[in-house]
Amino acid sequence: MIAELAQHIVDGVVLGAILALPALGLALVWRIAGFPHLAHGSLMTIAAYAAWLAAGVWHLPLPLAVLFGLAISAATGVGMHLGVYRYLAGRPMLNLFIASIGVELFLRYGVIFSFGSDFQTFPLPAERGVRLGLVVVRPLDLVLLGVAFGALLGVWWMFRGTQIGRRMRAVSDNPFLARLSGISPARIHLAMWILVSVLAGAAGILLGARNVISPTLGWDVLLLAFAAAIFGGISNPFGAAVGAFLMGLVSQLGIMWIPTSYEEGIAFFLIMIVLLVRPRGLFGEAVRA
Amino acid sequence: MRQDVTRKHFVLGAGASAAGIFSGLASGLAFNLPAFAKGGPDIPVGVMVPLTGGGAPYGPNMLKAIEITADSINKAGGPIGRQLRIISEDSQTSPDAAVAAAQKLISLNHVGAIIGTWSSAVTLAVLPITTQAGVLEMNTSGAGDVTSPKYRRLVFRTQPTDRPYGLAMARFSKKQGYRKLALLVLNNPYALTMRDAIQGEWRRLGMPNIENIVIYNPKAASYAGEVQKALQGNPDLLIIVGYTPDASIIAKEWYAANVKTHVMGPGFAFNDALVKNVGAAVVNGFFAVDGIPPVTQPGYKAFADTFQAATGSSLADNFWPAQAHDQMNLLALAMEAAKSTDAAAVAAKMRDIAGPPGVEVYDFATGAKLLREGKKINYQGASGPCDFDDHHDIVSNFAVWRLDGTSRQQLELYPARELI
Repeated sequence: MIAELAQHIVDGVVLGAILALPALGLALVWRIAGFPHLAHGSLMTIAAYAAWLAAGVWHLPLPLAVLFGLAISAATGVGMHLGVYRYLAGRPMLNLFIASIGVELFLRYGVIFSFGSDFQTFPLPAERGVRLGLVVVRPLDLVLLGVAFGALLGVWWMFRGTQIGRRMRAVSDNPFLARLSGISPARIHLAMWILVSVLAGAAGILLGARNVISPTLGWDVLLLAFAAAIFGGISNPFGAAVGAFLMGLVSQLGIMWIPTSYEEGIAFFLIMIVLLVRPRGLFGEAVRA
Repeated sequence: MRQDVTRKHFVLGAGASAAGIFSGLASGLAFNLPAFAKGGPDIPVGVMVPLTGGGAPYGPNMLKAIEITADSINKAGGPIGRQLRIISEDSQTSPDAAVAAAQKLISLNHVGAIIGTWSSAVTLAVLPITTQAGVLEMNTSGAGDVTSPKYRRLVFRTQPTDRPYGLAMARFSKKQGYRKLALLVLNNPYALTMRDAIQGEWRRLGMPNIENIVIYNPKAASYAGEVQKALQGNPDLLIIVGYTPDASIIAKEWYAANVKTHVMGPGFAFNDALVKNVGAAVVNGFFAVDGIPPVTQPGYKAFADTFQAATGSSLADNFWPAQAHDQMNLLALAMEAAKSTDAAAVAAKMRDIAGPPGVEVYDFATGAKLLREGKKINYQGASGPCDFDDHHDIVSNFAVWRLDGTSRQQLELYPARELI
């Protein structure tokens, strides 16, 4: 029983780590660009396909393939911003929201056109789990956890310790004041898109390595990542990441008692309850009037 | 001119299906048409196989099998003295694309029949359209709804339903001496049907109740929890009832869990793509259960060499292309028996030429000759006996293979008659 519980906790933390990076990114886009970014899943998918292309087709070494995937993902994010979202800035949120659906569909069919709708896998050998005390952990999941926590710490440090991070926070807190104090919003937006694309790309590559790479890889987890972000409080990027871990834990612990096919339903039900009691999410700030 | 005749015929056919009361009249007219114009216009036949998408490993050989077969039918004079004209559209293994392709085949090419649809999702998307238009549909799909009463009249499948898979799985598990089974079942109609069949047969065999039945949703971010739950209490055998993408992820989780539990699944999920995805080390020892062409029977032998020469691969490993070949032959023989290309008339003759009693035939030329002499025939196919039951379903032989990474070994054969 204890071992079972421990294993479900580990599974929940791993699921949380998968969701944390896109959830953090979604919250950053929400804070700085001001809209729910529906094309976020495409950034994950494109990174996974690019890395697969480099590793599986061009036979580049894995680290190089991962870097290539992250670079393509960053380029895609910047492309979205410069090609579409930039022109809609200042318009009603719904315009950007709808535009991001268009971007998502465009990129998804671009992936299907380029790589087909078949799924792909990284040329990685299958791995045996390693026993750590009560639980069995896949080595890849340890990498996943390392990357997720590393990235979260990195972003934390960036926000506290670097100029660009502090400026990003300034723009997200009050764009008008930030502009008065001489911060260029254009540069901050660009930096933000690079950051969230790399985070999403890393999550996409890891998810692709863990499961299989399909044209809807990112889209399939987007709803969960959104829910996690809202759960944690979408106005607080780190709250969103914590929300992702809570969501992973709830859904994986839930299936100890409820049928597995309802696992997402239970997670969403819990979110509904939280939002009824606390509309800003667990760690969110009260919405400014 | 030709176009006009075809169109008129198509309209007649469609009208006849919409109102069954006229079907006798319409088929009478259709019967007269080719008799007056000896040779008559070509018969357009729609072929929709998956050339891209999830079915892409199978579609090209299915199309090849249909082309070879249509060719030999045409060389033998064709049904009712007319030539078959194959019009092929790619289903892309996508219901959306299949709907567009079916509409094109019906309204632009005026086909009276569409054959070769693969995957239940594709077939179920196409059936409302073909039924509405009064077009005959033959497919290789196993879901129960494919031959539901609302479609059945014009629909025939050469693919066994999902039930015999379950029967073969349960019987083989008992024979292997397994007692504690676990099922990981995709939350969709096919998989749930197969689960019921496994459970029912396991109970009928007097085996202990299956406690670990875990239903999983497609496209989840992680199956770790599901797999852990299924493997609780160390079952002897884990049966994965799903498709290749989810089975691949689950197989990796199973491998990482380091357990002694063996693994089994349907052959269409435990295929070459699975081996490629997860690696030979993981699948080594997996059991795959699937329909198998009757390699010792004359119906199989009649086509095996031709197929091998045309594609370079053995017909024994090509269950769906064997079915596609049978669909083409059955359609042509039923047209010959109906002396018509009208879908309703052809469908009405399908069971007569496919099942007993009658002289067993293995190709169109022999069958058509006997039919013209007024004899009854019983077509024996390359994929199986092709005897349609009241539901227009068939049973076929089943086998269990053990995958050893690079190849697979047949362990057990279940003849069709034992799986009813």
